[in-house]
Amino acid sequence: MDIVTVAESKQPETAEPETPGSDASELAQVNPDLLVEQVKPLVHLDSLENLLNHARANSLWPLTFGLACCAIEMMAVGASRFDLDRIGAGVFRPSARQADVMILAGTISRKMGPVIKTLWDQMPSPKWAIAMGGCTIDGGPFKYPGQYAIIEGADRIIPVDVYVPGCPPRPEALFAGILKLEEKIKAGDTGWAKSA
Amino acid sequence: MGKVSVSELAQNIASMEGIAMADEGDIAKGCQHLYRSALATLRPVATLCKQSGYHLEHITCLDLRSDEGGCMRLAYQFNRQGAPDRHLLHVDLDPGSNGVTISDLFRGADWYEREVFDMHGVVIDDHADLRRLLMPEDYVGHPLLKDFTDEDPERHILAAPMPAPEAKDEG
Amino acid sequence: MADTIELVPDASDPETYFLNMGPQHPSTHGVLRIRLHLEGERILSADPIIGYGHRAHEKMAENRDYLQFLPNSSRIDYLSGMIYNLAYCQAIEHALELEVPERAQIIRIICGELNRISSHLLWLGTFVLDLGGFTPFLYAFDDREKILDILDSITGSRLTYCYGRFGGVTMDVDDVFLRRTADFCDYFKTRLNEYHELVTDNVIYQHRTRNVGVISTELIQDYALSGPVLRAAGVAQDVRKDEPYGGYERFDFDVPVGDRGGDCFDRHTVRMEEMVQSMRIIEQALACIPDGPIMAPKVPKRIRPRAGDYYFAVESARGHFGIFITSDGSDVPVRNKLRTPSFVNVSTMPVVLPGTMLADTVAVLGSIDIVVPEIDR
Repeated sequence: MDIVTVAESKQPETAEPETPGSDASELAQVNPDLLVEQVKPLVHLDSLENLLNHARANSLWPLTFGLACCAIEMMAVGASRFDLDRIGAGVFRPSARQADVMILAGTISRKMGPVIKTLWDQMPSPKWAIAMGGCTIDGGPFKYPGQYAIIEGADRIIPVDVYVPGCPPRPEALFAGILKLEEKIKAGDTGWAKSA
Repeated sequence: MGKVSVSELAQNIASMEGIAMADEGDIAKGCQHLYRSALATLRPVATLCKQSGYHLEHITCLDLRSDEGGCMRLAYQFNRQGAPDRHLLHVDLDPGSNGVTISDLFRGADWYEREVFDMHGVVIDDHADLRRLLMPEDYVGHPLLKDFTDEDPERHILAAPMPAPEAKDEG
Repeated sequence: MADTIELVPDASDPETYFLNMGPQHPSTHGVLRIRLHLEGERILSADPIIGYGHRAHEKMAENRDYLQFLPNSSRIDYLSGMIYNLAYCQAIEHALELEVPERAQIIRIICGELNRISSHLLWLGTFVLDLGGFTPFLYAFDDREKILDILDSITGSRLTYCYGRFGGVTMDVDDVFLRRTADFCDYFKTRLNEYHELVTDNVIYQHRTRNVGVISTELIQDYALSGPVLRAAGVAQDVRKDEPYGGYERFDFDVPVGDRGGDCFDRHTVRMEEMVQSMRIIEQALACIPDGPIMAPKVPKRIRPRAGDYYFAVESARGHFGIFITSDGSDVPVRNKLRTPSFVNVSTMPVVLPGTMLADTVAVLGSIDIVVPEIDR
């Protein structure tokens, strides 16, 4: 079983793209996709990474980030009936530096936007984001022509992995959203951080 | 504290200079008394209410500049504990003129006046710390004005305008 | 707190420093930011900065007609979403002088009081969580789920309801609902004893809340306090008693007050007792619910209150919630001002917090039970 593979010679079965190592002249052209690929790891530890991804998925630590109504349903998911702890994701961390996933629960106001961006930047990679509720998807019930106060959708300021619709989504829906994120992670999605 | 009876307070307020009683057709359902007040009479009325043990329920501003005799109307509502006896005061200001603070009489008026400044742009004189309450400190514009347009330079990124209804019918 | 240190912030003093609490903080119950000026652990001044949850409810009200504002009404204070939604309906009915049938009134009262109990349960769970006790949070949420199941069965929503309509309610309740509510009341009466054992009689909890964060009678007139904060200070005032609305006048219930001057522990005992009184109202309502229609016979198709001002107040879980509507006779209000209790309660923080310790700030903020979108609207 190949544990250590050198990048040029093997196409990994996971979703990771092949990393070129040799052709440095391509750097001269400003090609963003290529630049991104340059910083991807040159060495793939295939099965170990698979193991790491499973470990990450099964112990997601969310950031306590309730903004409005959806926060209550997020708390309900962490509480006794729906119990996030049984999938390992019940350890809510107040500090962004200790969290894996930011569950954006509630309407994002314009004043709050820079704060969210700061918190997102503070989170160490690998990190993911779940947009919970209609407000974080596209403004939800507060979207109307002339809305001055909110940011209509979390993906306008940070990259979002999973969208959970609802107003507010039932706790089962958020649970399903977290499970969907876990599927993504197990399939090799390492979050928005390894590059940039 | 000189607590007066309900009718006495109403009479005392009504007899102040600068107070006009509401007209026949004016409705203020839920409020027992409605007055139109000049700005100079606001503080004497507030002092009288405070001495009678009344509290300030809220301060609101209405943008009535497009009505005939356009003005910015400040509405002050005083009430007491127990069975309600609400005194609603309308202070009509010319657009661009300032109000005056009652936050030294009622500390709770502090935030209401800041919100009036933030949302309607009415400057309140003698307020200790008149800065924006709800919008960011450096925001330009007063959102609850009827002719408000959002001048935020990042608007096209953060809040895309909704498509016009005709476009939606076609699509 | 009998402290007489000079509380004047001195920016040149190297012993003092500024600490920012929030807007992302586990104990601020939402996106509240407080800028604290501290000397060691002791607070010299506190400046709450709000607006992080501003969603423009009042501007939206001016851009849509009265019926279209109904979904907004529940989201102002989502923990008492049912009470707020019904309050808005009642405000418009008050403006239009629309009679609501008796069955609808009783149903509204039952749903409102269930909502009040669920709000206080959530307060209890999160308050003790802030103080460091994790267990009551799980108990409280479990009981709250039972209430949400009951309300879910007729409204379809767990948190933000749009159950009221002008003139009545949307769906009728059946015997299953009434039986489940009665069963819940029976169950919860004995369950409250567990909360008293776990929380009220807990030595650590008492040390954290007794003589902490006294909001006394001298602040009442200045700030127009209401709700449990006011009642904890010793004043027996409740909108349901002073200006009864929607049928509350026929029910018999007490208004609990605090007896220690208005500290955090008082606010706790007031809310616990309010849950008991809410169950009392529910049981009386279940006993006297009549048959009949749930909607007024003639509701105008277009809601156009006559030009003028209308003010309507209810007792929400947090205090006096008032809706001030100015109409010019058209479909769309000129102004819809929401007078929310949390706005008032947080504005007392610059006066209440100085002199307390930083850890007590968490206790005080939790005990006044704020919901930030209600402050910012």
